This record gives sequence, structure tokens and C-alpha cells, in this order.
Amino acid sequence: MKKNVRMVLSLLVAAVLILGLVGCGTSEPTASTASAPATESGSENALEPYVIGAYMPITGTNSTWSFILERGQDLAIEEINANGGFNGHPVEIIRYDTTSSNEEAAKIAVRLVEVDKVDACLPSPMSNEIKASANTLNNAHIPTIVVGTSATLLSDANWDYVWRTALNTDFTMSAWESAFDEMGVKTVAIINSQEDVCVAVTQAMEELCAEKGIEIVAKESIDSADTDFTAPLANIVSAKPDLVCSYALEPGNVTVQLRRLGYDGLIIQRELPAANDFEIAGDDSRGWAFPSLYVTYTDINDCDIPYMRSFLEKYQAAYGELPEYEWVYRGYDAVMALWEASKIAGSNDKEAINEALSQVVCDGLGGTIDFTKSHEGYESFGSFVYEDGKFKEFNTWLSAGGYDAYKQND
Amino acid sequence: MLKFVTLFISATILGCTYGLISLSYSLIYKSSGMMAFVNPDLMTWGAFLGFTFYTLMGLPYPIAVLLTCVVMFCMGFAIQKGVVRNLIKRNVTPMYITLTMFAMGYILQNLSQLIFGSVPRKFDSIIPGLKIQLAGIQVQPEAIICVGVSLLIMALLQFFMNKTKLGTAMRAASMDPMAAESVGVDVSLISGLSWGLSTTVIAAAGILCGPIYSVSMVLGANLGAKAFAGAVLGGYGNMIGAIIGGLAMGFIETFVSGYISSDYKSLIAYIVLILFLFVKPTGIMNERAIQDV
Repeated sequence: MKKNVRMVLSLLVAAVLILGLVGCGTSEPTASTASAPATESGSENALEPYVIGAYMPITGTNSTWSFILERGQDLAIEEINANGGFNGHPVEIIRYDTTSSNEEAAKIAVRLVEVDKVDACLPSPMSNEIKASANTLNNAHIPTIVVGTSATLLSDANWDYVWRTALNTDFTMSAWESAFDEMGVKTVAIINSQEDVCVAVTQAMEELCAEKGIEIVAKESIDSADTDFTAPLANIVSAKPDLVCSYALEPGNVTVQLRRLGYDGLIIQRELPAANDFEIAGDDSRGWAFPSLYVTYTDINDCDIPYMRSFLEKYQAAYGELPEYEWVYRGYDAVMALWEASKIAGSNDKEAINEALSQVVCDGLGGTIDFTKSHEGYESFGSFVYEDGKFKEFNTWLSAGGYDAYKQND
Repeated sequence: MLKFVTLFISATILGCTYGLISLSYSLIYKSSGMMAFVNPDLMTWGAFLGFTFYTLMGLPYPIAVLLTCVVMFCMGFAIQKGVVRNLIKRNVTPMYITLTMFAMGYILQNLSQLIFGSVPRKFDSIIPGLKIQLAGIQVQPEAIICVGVSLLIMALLQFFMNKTKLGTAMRAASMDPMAAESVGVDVSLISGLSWGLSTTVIAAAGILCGPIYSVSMVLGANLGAKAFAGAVLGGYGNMIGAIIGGLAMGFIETFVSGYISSDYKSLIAYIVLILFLFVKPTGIMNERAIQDV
């Protein structure tokens, strides 16, 4: 009896170990050729696939939303393959897990170039991982589309083969230039995570404040291993700022703790917070203001943008829900911009596609993707404030006196 | 003054959270001589199970706590029997068992991602609508419960380990397994029970912290390092020391962050730990067990 119990326990542990290994970050790629186009006879297409390499943090501390980025890419590939692929070639995607490690991202980029010999690449959305790896792709002349938002991502390196279909956070400062004047903002406090994208947007805000003569009365940083932010937030609250800029990777908990300390003013976010941040913050998310290319929807009927609505219908059909975070849009846009370039090039040659990318002007989920002026696909965006459970257009809300309820220092 | 009070309250809550995790480290060490670096990830599991039973399934909180503790006790028991015991039987050195604990931690973290997902989730309040004002700041009722439960568990464990037959058997099994067996102690069973008990304590930490910090796959990992430092500072293996060490880490971190800079809070906390160990290697409570490793 005792032996049997031991055997069962051992088997259970072995099962746990095996399951764990399945879930662990792996350097083995996963490939997908969702709905490859068929020939006229209906047999499999004999043409060589167009291979896109992708990598992202599927496991580890930054893995929260990678699955939704994957979904965006997969939906785009499915749509492309159903419409003839890249100049008749079916699209295949090879994915790797960076395990939230910059070093792993750098190694994966080498593997994509040397072993997988990919035709194009969609790197990690994490700016740190892009910086660690994109040089390899650029040197190998691989057309690469990034979706990280860090301001310094493209400006720090002159990469000819790297393009972006996400919003550079530097551009978003223009949203606040006139708004700060209209709100009469004299003092600001900033709390930021130490990830590259958050540091970059903090610097941009500091520059804006310096330019406008706005005093930064408190500046606090937190790291990804923090769970309790009371001390830095207490410094912020005691400095009595007119408003707070919260540039944290996951702003839900920061907001809850900030509100608990008695701050009930406007909180500026660097981008649209994720659905779970709204869930965690609950009522405390009132007064979140953010620049964004997109908003998320809880009901498909709330969307009146035809191109977006069509995407949401496809997403809902495939996954039975609406996307909770904007990374899905970024994933979709990156693949579609690449497809547009292949159509302009008329060939799948890497140099031809990269050249064609500079001519891309196409519909994206965040508006028009336009690479004709620079490697930045999006330069215009909207600003929103979240109040009463709804996203409101920021300037309209401001003009209607919405800010009065959030004023801190009269 | 308000800032000081705010920081004091916050440091107490954070310190007790660290203390609860430190208790589980100390309990395992005291009862089986192991460094259980898998504990932070077991805490994550406790939080996710509590979230599943309470928030998702809508069970009453006490039932959710009970179910979580039962499941986690079995999990701890199974880890000891299936992994630790098997390694000991194969004469694997303690160092390699410690490394195995790290591996188990990664496995559990990835498993939690696989099963519960990678998105942080809101753990519903235990007492919805109740807002407590302490010295002008709003404190979650769960935070006060966390402080109370930490102190209660500390007292119970201290009593259990030193004043009960089972606790004495656990300490005996850790100090000299062969001698313990010769006087009729079932070392294998006792070790399994001590792991189960430790895992139950860490599960309690998870289910109490969930409503305060929300639940994510890195919840335990984020708190675990400081909690381990707290256990060492207090005297590794000592129950009272675990809480005192946890509180010390919470206070250093919070007050450095509040009055010096949040950039240096971890730096200064760990420097204080090292300097303190230079002066008093056995920790605040003069626990000699750490010297045996």
C-alpha cells in the first residue's frame, strides 16, 4: 500500500515536472502557416513559404501580454494567406520566447538570421529587447518592423531596415503642450518604472516641463520587482502636485495605492492601460488621461471605425472575446504593413521589400500607416480621458470643463 | 508627521507580508534543514488558488482559505515526498537539493502561467465597501488582517515547534534523522508534514496579499527575495526572528524610499543586511541553525 502511494506520488511529481517543462520558456521555435493559400487544383501550394521570424517574452516577468500580440500577428497572417500570401507565397511565422531576457533576444536574432534564414522579422515589443537584438537584423538586411514605443528606439541607431508601426512616446508630448496651459498646470509629479520605454517618456515629460516652466515637485522611480509603492507615492502626495504622470508598466496597482493616499487629481498615463489595469484600479481609474492610437472595446457596437470593426469581428470569431489590450492591434498592423510593402515591391526579395516599405501608405488599426516621411509609421494619435466608465476625447472633455473636478491647487 | 505615519503603517504591512513568507522559509529550515527557495512561487499558487475559489467561483472567503490551505498542504507534502525525499535517498548533497528548489520554483511559475495566465488579476476585497481610516490615510481591511494573521501564525508556530510533541519531532528529524528514527519518529512522514505546514503558511500569505497587491505570476517572486533576507536578518530558522526580520526589511525599504530615494531602497536594505551579519552572523534572534549549513 505504502509503495503504491509512493508510486502515485512519484508519478504525480513527474507529471508536474513534464507539464512545467512544457510551460517553460523554450528556445525551440513554433511555426504557423495559418490557412496557407491553395493552388487551383486544391492541392498544397508548392511555392516556398515567406518566412517571418518573431520573438517576444512568452515567459518571464514581461510576458503578460505576448499572447495577445501573437493573436494579432496570427490573424493578419491568416488574412494574408487567404488572399494570396506574399506574392503568391504562403506566409509562415517562426516564434521564439525571449524569456523576458535581453541576452536571449540577442541570441534569437542571430539564430533567425543564421539558422532560420528568415525573410522578415517582427521583434519583441519590449524596447530593451529590441535594442539588444535589432542591430543583428539590420546588419543582415532583414526588413524588420518593431512595435515598441520607446522614444529612443529608432533615434539612437540609424537602422535602414528597421521600421515602426507603433506610436513613438516622444510624439505624444504634443498632446499635453496646450492642455497644460489650458488647465493652468504649474507643478507636476512623476513616478516611473525603470524599463526603457518608461524612462524615455519620463525624459520627454521632463523636457516638456522645462520648456513650459512647469516645476517637477516630485520624481520617483519603481522597479518591476516592487509590489508596494506607498513610500514613493507618499512623497508625491506630500509634494501637492497639480497632476501626476504615472509612467509605470502596470499602472493599476500604482493608481490604487495613490488614490488610497488621498490623491484624487488627474493621472497621465503613457498609453492606453490594459483591461486588467482598469479591472485592478476599478473606480480609481477615473481621471486617467492618455494619448493613444486606439481604445479597447467591451462591446463591438461601440466601435464605429469600419476597418477596426472588421478586425474586431474577426478577432471575436477566432477567440470568442474582444481584445483586452492594444498589443493585438500592433501585432496586426506590423504584418499588414509588411504585406503592403510586398505588394508594392512585386517580389519577396528582402532589398525590394525594404525599399518598398519607404513607399507604404496604408490603412492601419490606429489610422494611416505612412512610411514615406520616416521609419515611424504613425505620427498622429488621439488623447483620451477615462471617466464614468467611458473613454472621452480629451480636448472636448477639457473644453467642457471636465478638469474642474480634478483640480488640486486652486 | 502625516508622511511619517503613512510610511510607518505601510512599512508594518509590508514587513508583516515579508514576515509571513520568512516564516515559511524558517519553518522548513527548522524542521528539515532545507533552504526552500521554491516558497515564493508556492505563495503565487496560494494567491491564484484563493483567487480562483473566492473571486472566480464565488465561494465564501473562509471556505476559499480552507480549500486553498488543503490543496497547498497536499502540494507541499507531494513536493517533499516526490522530489526532496527521493533526492535525499539518492544521497544528493544539500547544495544540489537547494538548486532543485530553484528549478521547482521556475517550474511552478511557468505552470501558474500555463494554468492561470500571465495577466495580473484583481482579487476581490474580503470585506467589500469597508474603508478604514488610520491616522488620516485609508488602509485596506485586508492589510490589517494580514498584520494580525502574521503575528498569530508566528505565535502559533513558535508554540508548536517548541511546546508540542509533533514540533519536537520535526526539530529532531531535522537535527539528526537517524537518532530520531531510532526513538520511533517517522522521519519521512514528519518531513512531509513539515513541508505541508510550511506550504500552508505560504498559501495563507498569498491569499492575504492577493487583495492588497492583486495577483500575478510574479507576486511571490517579487516579495520572496526580501522575505528571505528578512528570515536571515531575524535569525534563519527562528519564528519570532522571521517576523522581526521581515518587519526590519519592510521598515528599511519603506523609510529609505520615503526619506532618501526610492532608487536606493534595495541597495541600502541589502547593505544593512550584510553589515548586520558581519556584526551578528546568527541574526537578531541569535539563531545558530544557519551555521550548520
